[in-house]
Amino acid sequence: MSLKIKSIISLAVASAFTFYLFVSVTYSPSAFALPFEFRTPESPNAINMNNLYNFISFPAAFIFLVFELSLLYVVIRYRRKSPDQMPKQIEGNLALEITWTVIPFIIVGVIAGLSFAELQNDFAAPNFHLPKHNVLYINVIGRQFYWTFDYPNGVHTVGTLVVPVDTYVRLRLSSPDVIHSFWVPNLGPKIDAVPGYYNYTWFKALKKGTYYGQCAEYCGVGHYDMTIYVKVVSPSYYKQWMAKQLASLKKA
Amino acid sequence: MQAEALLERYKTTEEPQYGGILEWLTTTDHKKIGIMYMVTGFSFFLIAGIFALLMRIQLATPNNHFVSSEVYSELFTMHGTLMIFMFLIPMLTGIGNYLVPIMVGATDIAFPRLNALAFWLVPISGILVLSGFLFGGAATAGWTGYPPLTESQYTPGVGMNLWDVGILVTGISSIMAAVNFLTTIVALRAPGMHYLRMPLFVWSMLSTSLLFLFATPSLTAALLLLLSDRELGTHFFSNHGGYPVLWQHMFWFYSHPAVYIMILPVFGAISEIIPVFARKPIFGYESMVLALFGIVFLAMGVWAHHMFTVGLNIYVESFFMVMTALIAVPTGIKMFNWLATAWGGAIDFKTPMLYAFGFLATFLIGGISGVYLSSVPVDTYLHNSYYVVAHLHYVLVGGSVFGVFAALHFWFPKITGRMLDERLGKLSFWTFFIGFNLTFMPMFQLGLDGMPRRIYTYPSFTGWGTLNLLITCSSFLIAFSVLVFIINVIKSLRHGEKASNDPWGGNSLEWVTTSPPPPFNFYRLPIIRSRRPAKDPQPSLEEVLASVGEHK
Repeated sequence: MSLKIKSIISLAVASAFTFYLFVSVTYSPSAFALPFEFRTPESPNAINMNNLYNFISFPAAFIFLVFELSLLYVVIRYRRKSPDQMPKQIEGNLALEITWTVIPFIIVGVIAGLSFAELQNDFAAPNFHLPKHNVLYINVIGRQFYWTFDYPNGVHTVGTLVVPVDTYVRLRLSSPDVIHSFWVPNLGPKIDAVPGYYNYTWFKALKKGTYYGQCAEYCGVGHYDMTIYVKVVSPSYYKQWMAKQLASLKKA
Repeated sequence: MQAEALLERYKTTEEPQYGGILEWLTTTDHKKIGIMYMVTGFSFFLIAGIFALLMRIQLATPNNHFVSSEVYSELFTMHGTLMIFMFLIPMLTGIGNYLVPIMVGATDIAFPRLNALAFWLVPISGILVLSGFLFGGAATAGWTGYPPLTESQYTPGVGMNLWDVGILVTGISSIMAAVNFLTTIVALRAPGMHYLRMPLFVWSMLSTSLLFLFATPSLTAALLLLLSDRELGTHFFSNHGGYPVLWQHMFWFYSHPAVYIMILPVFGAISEIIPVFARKPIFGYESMVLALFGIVFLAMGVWAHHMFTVGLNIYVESFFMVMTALIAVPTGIKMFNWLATAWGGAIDFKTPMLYAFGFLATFLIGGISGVYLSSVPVDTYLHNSYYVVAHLHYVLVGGSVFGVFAALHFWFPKITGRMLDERLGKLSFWTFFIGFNLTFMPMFQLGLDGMPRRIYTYPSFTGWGTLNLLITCSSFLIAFSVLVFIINVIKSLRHGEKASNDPWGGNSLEWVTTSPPPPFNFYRLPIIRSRRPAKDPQPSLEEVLASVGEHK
């Protein structure tokens, strides 16, 4: 096989390999079936974050492919052919340098601009443009090593948050001990529970189901086990469940 | 006759006072100190690397209990702490220590005794930090040490204090080294070595030194305040009237510039290596210098991008987001300029050049993943997940460590007078490159799949087990590669081919002198007429000796 054909084959294989790596990183679903589809956003803010991520992947893929394929081209085309070979001594090129200053500047500018807009839309704590009525306000406490949820009517749960589907839920978080972080990937951003002040986040689950999350700020030896289950149920189920909770509260 | 007598006089006055170990313990010669920095750094690299392998065994399968959760916390804390403070920073300081005086045409660094002190503080601080294992447990709160977890109420025990003091000491050491580099570069350049003729490696050490000076005091202050909280009952960061987030500001004000401290010398080394093996001058020298200063300036203003989930005001977050996004611009300029240097060249892929290209291929991925993380909304998903672990290893291993190996292979002949074995070099490169990518690329996926950082184990229903097993197996390929490198070094020190002054066809002044250089670096002030003084006509040793005694 001639060197030329070998080069073309290795270029093709290497490109395919790097392209597979890059695509497998940026796009869901993963190659292995997951019982929890963590990457599927199930709340409007999560959907917007996911869209922003996907948007960034376009310029990211562009820069990645241009650079890596150029690198591969250099490796094949510009090998030294003889011991005394001396190439053209180029010191620079202003036009090229301006191009690869301005284009990245524009790319990151657009990404920052879209991100700034999303911050205004979904991240303006504590009220988040939420409606005035039909919002479920939950107080969340993270402590070593479990989460507790307090409902407005006094109901208290540990580890599992039960909410009705299609309902805005606003969480107020804090901690009495060390810093923890509340993260349910399907339902939006993570937010820290910090001793000394309150943090806020929100979600609106669009589909029924159970969503899994974990503490995302190292908080001690039990950090790995600080699990969160968000059970999103129908309004009727939620009513029944709440009635049962209130009944057992009264008994206690 | 007169020339020979003079040479004899040089030899005897510069001959070390002591022999053997005592010489190394008392030396103030920047070359010996540089070697000690490098050897010390590499030793901590091996220790921290073993900790990483132990962590990977623990994470290989769900619900594993290879070590306890407490031990696992010690492992990830010490892995990060050692790799950053005891490996990368000392190793790069050592390479700089060896090369900067020679590259500017000086006979030693500006303050030799300060240099020795700065070095010896490093093994001392490493021992302090590690000694926690002997005194009831090493530090366990991550290399970031966030209070209130690191307050004495939640992490009692002296291991945390030893960690605190150890890092304090090494910070002081780095400030001393920075003062030495800056003074050497400003005051000791040989005639003809104008600023804009200096090698880019020297510019990178200058920039790194500025970052050391601006940033380290913040960490030193934070560590003192934490120590005070732990031992004197103050409440700077506690949950009883303190402000835990203040630690994060003070810590990251240093630690973000710290990551640039760990990459800028590597940028400098790559800027030396690619032109040599491509036989072309560096593309855009002036922009490369400007980009370094752009990075220094921006690096000081991005620290809170590590804090996008603590509850900062969205306008404050936006400022840091914009600064972080902007830093991609000067970094991108450097990447494209390196590519343009190699483009159209006549490239010989000796091991240093392989590592340089490995650096370019992997640091790019680290940089691009950083752009995702710079967007606040996206970061609130990715923060503290394995996506960040992947990103940081792509920049610190794919970037800094590949760069360190490129530099070690490139300057080994100069430092030791022996060539490294090319075949072992190529083997170590390819196993490192493949092992590294197989280990860290899947971590991007794991992060997107919701796996947080610093978890001891995970349930099998998450589905994270498959990729974790792949990662663990691949990490042993990295270990193999490092073993090959060690064998290469040992073998070459004993039987390596003797190195000439300039085995690679270099551009900077170290290639003008012998391999290794004499104690005073040069037999005669080198002639400097361009950015590539090794290619300016230099007198031979015979001509130098023949001219002694003539008043020219």
